[in-house]
Amino acid sequence: MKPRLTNPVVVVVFVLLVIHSWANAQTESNDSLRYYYDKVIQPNHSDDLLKAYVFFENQRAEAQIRQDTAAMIYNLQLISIIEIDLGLLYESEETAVAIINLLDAQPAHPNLQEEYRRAYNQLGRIYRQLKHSDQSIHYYQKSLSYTQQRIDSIILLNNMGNLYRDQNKEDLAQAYYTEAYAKSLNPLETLQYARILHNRFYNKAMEGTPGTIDSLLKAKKLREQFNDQRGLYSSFRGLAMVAHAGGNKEQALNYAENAFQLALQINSLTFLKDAYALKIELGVNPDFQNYKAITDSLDNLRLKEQNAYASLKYNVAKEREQTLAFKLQQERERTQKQRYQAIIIIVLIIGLFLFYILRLRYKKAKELEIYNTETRISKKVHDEVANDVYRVMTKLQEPKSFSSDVLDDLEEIYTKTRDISRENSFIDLDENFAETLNELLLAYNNQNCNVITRNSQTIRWEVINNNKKRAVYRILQELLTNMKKHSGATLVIINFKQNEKKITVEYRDNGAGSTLHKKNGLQNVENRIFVLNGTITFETEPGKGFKTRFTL
Amino acid sequence: MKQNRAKDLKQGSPYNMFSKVLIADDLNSITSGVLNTLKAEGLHQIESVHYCDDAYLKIKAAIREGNPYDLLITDLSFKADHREQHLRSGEDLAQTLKKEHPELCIIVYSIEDRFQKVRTLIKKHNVNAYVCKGRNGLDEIKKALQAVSRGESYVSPQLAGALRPKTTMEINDYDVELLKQLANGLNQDEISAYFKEHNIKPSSLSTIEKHLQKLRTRFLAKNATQLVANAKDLGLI
Repeated sequence: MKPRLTNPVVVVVFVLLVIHSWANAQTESNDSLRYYYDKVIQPNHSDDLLKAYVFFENQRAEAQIRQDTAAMIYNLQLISIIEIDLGLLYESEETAVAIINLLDAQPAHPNLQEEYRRAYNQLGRIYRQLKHSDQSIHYYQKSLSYTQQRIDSIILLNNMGNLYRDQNKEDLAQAYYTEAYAKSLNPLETLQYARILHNRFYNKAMEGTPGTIDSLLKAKKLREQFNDQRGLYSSFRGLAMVAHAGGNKEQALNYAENAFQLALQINSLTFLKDAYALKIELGVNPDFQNYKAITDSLDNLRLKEQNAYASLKYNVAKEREQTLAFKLQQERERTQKQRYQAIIIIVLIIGLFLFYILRLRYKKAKELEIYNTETRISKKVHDEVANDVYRVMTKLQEPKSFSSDVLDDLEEIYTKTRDISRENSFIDLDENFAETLNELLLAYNNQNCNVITRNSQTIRWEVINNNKKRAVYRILQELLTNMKKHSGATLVIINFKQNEKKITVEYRDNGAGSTLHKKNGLQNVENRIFVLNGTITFETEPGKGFKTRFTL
Repeated sequence: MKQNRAKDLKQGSPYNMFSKVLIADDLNSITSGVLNTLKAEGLHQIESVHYCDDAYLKIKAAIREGNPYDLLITDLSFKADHREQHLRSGEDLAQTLKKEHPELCIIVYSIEDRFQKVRTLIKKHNVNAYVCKGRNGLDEIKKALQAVSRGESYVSPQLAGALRPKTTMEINDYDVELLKQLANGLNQDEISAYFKEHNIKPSSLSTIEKHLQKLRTRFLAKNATQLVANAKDLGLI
């Protein structure tokens, strides 16, 4: 039999191993961060900086994928430092600018101050080394404006002092060193203190001021205690120069050799070059010294060319960026415009659609009204005229009945047809509608019935549209015809009320009333109201008259 | 024919100012009814047309020839047919002719009985008579002929209201207030006093009396009690 499953113990062990390595990976990530950070601050081996560079570059790439801006900024800061140390000044500048761009894209926050300070300080350092003194000062000052902690301002003041010393502006340099020195009397900040101590008294020591060498030695000692290799290099270099100036050649060479050894340890080309230069400067061979002077001026020349090229490159890049930004803005505006156009078109389409629907609805209602009217007329002609004519015809077939009552019958039929015609005839809506309406109502007055109006003369008919006027006329006509036919009312009161372009009419009679009937006349009334989006209520009970109120 | 005419001339028509008459109506039966009536009244030079435009042209031609018509009897409504008409209704015809020849007498003979139309024709277009087609229409044509020949105007009795000063059955808020106070048991004096007190105008006794009289007519009431009862029935108070 073949084993169908692997040994369960093996599976368990495998799973545990995976979990373990995963957990390790988690802690290792943090550990390596710390490890490489230390390597950047205090590189001990020749390839420490390169390894750290690769590590932080990977970290940055990952952060970018995660879109973790804070992590990206952190990693870029370290990368920029490494690049300076490796002598890659232009790359470092680019990295620092990238940091500032990232910061600018963030919403304003107090925590960003510190990041700005670092980035601008970094730029100041870079331009110092590129010998762009003005720019360097500019960025140091900018950095200073973001500085919140005393220790940071000490570093910056010191850096500015260094810059002026580069330019041989010793007075200005001293001013900054003094200010930094005054601020750095806190023993907790030993390394800073050591640096300031050294810088402040270096010049005095060079001039041979007594006691100043002690300060330099004190700074050296502090740096030794805290294993500050770069600071220590600076101390050895300074002491070598002071000794050289004081004529103590042996001591000077001794210090220079120490500095050289340190430079080897730090493994920075910049440091090494500086160390060799120091040795040559302190050396005895004038050829070497001449060679160094020439190399220095050549270096400066090359640097100047490089700077010119860089600034050209920078300008071109900037111009391209501006063009791109302009294009982007244009594109954005175009999109915006298109969006507005789309909205307008949609609104138009919806408007048209609504208009079409409403028109269709109105047309339909209108058609219904026409149909109803036609049916009503046809029915009336049939019920009231044709039947009566037939009755007269039958009467005429009996010879003896031919007398004046046939004429009466005919007159009745004639009146009926005239009424039907009048019910549907043209109404003059434009001229003096009040009178037209009044005449309609008066026509229903006789000895037995009075149609009274209330406030009809207060209505301003000219502001009410013709469809409404026609409806009011026809509705009252139908109500009154109905009244005359069925109710036997002796009094009718019609109350008019106007509200701007709306009109409310209340009809009430003292007739028999009825259970609500909607045949013919009233159905028609409702249709008319419906077509004009009006409202109507009916109120009637046998013995209590008929009451209706409509608003158009 | 000649003999007849001679006889007429000898006898003398009672309407000697109408020797030549034109009838405009699109229905032959109506025309013949009028024709017979006119003949019975001793008028013989009568012609008829079916279209307003024809009537207009005929009258114009007769004037040009120096033998004008004295009287036009026209309907108002003409059926539209294939013939394109410039003048579409008797109203158009009457209006145009009266403007151009005010001396021509015109009697409108129509089924139309709306006061407003009658008023417009008589007062605005100055037609001489308006006769309503009906059971007594032909009798009224005769009466109209007589009146017009005397230089008077004539309107069928059922339309007489059209020419009377405007009547209305209007009441207003003042009247309703009056009715309310009456219902409260106040007499005319008391109402007058009440109105004065509440600054309701007019408040004079005579005006109130006049208004109450008017209201009694409107509400078909013989006395104040019935007036209040009727107003209550209609929900006014």
